[in-house]
Amino acid sequence: MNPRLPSQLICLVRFILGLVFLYASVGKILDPKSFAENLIAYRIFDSPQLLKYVAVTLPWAEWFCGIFLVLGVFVRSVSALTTLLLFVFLVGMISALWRGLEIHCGCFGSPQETIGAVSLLRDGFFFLVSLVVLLSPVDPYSLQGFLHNRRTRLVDSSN
Amino acid sequence: MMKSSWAGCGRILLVNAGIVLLSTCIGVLLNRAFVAGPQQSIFSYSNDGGKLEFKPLKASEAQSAEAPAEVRLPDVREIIASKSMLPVDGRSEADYENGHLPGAYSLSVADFDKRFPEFSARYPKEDAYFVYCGSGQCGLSRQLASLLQKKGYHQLKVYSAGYNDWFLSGNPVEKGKGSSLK
Repeated sequence: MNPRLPSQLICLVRFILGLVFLYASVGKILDPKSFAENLIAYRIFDSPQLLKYVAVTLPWAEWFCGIFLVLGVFVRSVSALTTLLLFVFLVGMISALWRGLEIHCGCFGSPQETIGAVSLLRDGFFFLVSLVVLLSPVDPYSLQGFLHNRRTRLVDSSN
Repeated sequence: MMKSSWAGCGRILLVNAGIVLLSTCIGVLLNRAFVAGPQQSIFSYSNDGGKLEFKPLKASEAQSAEAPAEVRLPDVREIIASKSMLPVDGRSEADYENGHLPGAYSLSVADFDKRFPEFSARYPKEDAYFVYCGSGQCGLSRQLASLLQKKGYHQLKVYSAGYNDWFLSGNPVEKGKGSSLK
């Protein structure tokens, strides 16, 4: 059994999760007003000002999570945030379905996708993926892992 | 062991607080106009003072056209402040109950045939109305305008940007069934 396989798998999972977050953020960054309209449909926000702050902040938070995961920086911290975000999205969608709302999920900045089994399963899947990244050791292929290994080697060689 | 796990949690919190703070700064800076939109309506409206009483314009006073004219947010504010036209909400009753323009009447496109007799009994064809739905993407306002035109209501305007535009601009909204769904 190749002992590096788990690390490679974790690296792949982290990279894919990062790309997904980057992709999800772009549409919302380019059109925050449409994203805000999607958020209105969830009927969660009573304050328009709070809703607008969420609509302009969340896409950039997703973008930073995406870029950090792809590069492999702050992996543990960022995966904690992505796990929390995906959990919140999941709860939001379940709550909307529970209340009988037939609304666009606003998941990838696409105004056409209505909340349903597909969006729930996809979000649930990425939630588990994010949880795997969070609970796994940081892979050596990440920038963080690379720098850590280099520092360890330098310390070892100096001793 | 305990100390290092607390340090790990602190680091996670610190990094994520940084990400959120940075995201907020960038998002707000790049969308200043959107975020710093009008916070106060140009009129004051109290939901406690009872129902709004509309004083509709007569047909001769209102603009007449086959294709209903568009109204924008500043016009809608004036209309609602002066109570010169009745806002008619084409969204579902659930959406209406969640929030609607002050004094709006719920005439859901989905239940138009069921709800129209009551509407026509209360509001004459000669008066002026403006219709709206959720946003420019929903299309229900145009559908509602078309349905009302077929029934002989020609003094219509369309607020395409709709409820979302009104709400996001920080204008007052009413919640609940209102007078139209009781």
